[in-house]
Amino acid sequence: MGDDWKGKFDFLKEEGVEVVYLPRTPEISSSQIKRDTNYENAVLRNTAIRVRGEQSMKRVITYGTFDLLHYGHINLLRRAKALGDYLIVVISSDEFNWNEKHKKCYFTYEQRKALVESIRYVDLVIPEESWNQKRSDMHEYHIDTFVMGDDWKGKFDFLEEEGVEVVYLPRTPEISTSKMKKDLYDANAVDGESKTSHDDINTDPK
Amino acid sequence: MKRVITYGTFDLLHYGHINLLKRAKALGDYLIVVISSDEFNWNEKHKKCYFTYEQRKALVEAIRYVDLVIPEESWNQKRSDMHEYTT
Repeated sequence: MGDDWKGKFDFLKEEGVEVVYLPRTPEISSSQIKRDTNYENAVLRNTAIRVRGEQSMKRVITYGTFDLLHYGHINLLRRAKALGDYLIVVISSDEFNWNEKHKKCYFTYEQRKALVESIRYVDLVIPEESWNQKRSDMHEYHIDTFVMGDDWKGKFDFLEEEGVEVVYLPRTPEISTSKMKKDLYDANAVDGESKTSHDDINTDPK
Repeated sequence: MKRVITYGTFDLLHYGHINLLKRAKALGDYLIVVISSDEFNWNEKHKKCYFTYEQRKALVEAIRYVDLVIPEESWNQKRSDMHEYTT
């Protein structure tokens, strides 16, 4: 077996055979290939495209960075989902952020994707790679409604030409990732580290 | 129904939290997450959160693996929680 199984099958020696664990080839695995080729997304996308055949299903799409997740994001995603039956979230890739928005995220695309995928209102997460992807996404994913926060008001009205409804939802007041970053980088704003380590805690005080 | 419980602060949510919650839920059918209240954090852990309890609760409740969120108010709540949430 590959040596990622090392020791796990030693019991077969009792059956009189030699048990050998061969070193795995570094840096390659089926799961890595699936990640690299976006296999899971392809499967999900195919499902999404099959599902679009059902005329009754209303499909909603929104775009964002989703770096440091906060309750404002949740409010937006919940209301976006409520506008239809199937919610697609398009998250800007690291390259798109850096090259086009001159913005560096705290989390990588894969890490941001993992978080957004775990939100119960979200059905599919795909990457945003360029500014002009939106027009084609409307057709590729058979979108009915395009949603953004109202800080973008008017900026995406041109998508109505692609036959979709464009909705700007009111932003949740007083919270944004930019504000979080500003606060967090301000050393005095938040005591990021607990002063109490787990070892200092009497976990069973009776 | 197998019930699973975990405890934490869940202030700035990251993929590590998600990994934990996903695996915790996979251990059973119903996942309860107990989030430390602001008072508990401050008085007992001497820790100030970026988000309030209600804000942290809203975020964790939106995670698809989570079935119930309740507050943690004291260190000795865990023993009684084990019995209170059996049915």
